[in-house]
Amino acid sequence: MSEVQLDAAAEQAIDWMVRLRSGHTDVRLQRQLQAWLNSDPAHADAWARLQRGLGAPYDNLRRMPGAADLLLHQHGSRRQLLRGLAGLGLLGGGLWLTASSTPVRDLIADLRTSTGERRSFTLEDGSRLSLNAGSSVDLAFDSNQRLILLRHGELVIQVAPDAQRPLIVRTAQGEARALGTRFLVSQEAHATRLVVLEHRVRASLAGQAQWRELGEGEAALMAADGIHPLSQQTYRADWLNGRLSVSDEPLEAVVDSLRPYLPGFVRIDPRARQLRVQGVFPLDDPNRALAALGETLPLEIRRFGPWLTLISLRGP
Amino acid sequence: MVRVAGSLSSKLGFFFSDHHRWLLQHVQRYLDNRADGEDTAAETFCQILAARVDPQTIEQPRAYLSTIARRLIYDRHRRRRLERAYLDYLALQPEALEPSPEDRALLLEALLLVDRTLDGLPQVVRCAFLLSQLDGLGYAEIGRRLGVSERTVGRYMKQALRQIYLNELVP
Repeated sequence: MSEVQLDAAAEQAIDWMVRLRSGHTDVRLQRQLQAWLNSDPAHADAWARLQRGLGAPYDNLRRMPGAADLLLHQHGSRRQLLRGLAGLGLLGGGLWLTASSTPVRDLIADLRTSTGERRSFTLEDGSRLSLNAGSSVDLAFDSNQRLILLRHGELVIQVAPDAQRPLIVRTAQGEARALGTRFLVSQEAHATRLVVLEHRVRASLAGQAQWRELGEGEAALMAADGIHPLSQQTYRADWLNGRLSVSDEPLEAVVDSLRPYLPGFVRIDPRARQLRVQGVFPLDDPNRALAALGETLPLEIRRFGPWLTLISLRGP
Repeated sequence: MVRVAGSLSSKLGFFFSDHHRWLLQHVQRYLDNRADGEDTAAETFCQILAARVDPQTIEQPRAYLSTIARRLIYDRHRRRRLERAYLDYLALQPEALEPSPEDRALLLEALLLVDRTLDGLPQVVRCAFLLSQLDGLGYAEIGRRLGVSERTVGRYMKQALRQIYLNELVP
């Protein structure tokens, strides 16, 4: 809104601030500024007003490592936002500039689910894609391949056969290439979980030659340091039927699975995180799931409106 | 009806007729359709009415009006989206780094305030300003990261600082 007029003192105060921030200041400039400030009370007023505008909120945001990225990325789509969050701390690379001008962008379609929402989609090739709550994918299908970019959350894909175009699910850690098949991919904090429900899948890590082929019923965790086989995991696809099945897992992991169904924020007391959990919990009634956890474990669950839930160990 | 000269509402009436057309054109540039523009202009005047501000005490009426209008447009579009983004951001944090509930409220408030203040500025201007304001970088470094000259960075800074100053004119 640049055509709005400011008075002369304000314009000068702004010009001084612009010069002061350049990184080329010296004692002379400081002295000149002081002289300008002393020459008219209106100058000092304008300077104080500008200083106020540059005060408190920024002091708070300097303590928050991703603040600049959040402020710069939340304008566009959720996709840009997630890209922004994935690049936290990468602001220095000027990456956001290139990210928003990549020509591929227009060829990409978004599919996503919100908190508490599960959905299945039939893709153009006839493949059936199911998204768990709080998940998002971008699709990039062309004549050579069917690429699914899992940005966030968890999916199960039933792949339609197409000998010409392999179907690949790509995550932050690597990719899973379908060899005629149905499988689950979950993007976790620092790893990707891959569970093969039917036939076979080839897993490979980004930028590495290492790969591993998984057969029906097999699972693996893909992380920066390698592809680690996991024991029986097919129960992890139970969310397709609205159930969370847990067999001997830490509370932390169980709550992570409930998070996409709980609005707001859930925090677990560090002392409670490793409690072992067994059971089957209803995903579509996450509050009942939490209550059930509270009944079987020594937990105190406090809710502060819909936005905050605190889980701690019950006092002795 | 007898008009009481100098009464607050008649002063506001004049204020309204003096600036209405300008404000409407001004907000139109930031909104998709005319009805939204008229709504926003009307709401802007309503806010001044509700705050019982004496228009004669407003030193720079257009700066004042444009700032209120910008806040209204901002609230219409973005507040909830930023809250959501902040919650997503928190959910991705390792819990060791998580802010306390009080800190969380403070940070969200700071994010909203800064976002609202910078609303309407081009992305590259916001970026240049935040690199200076949050990271303390000089213009040479900012210019290098954004691929523009130092001079251009100075121009971006001026644009951001003008808007910040305008924002301070309205309580």
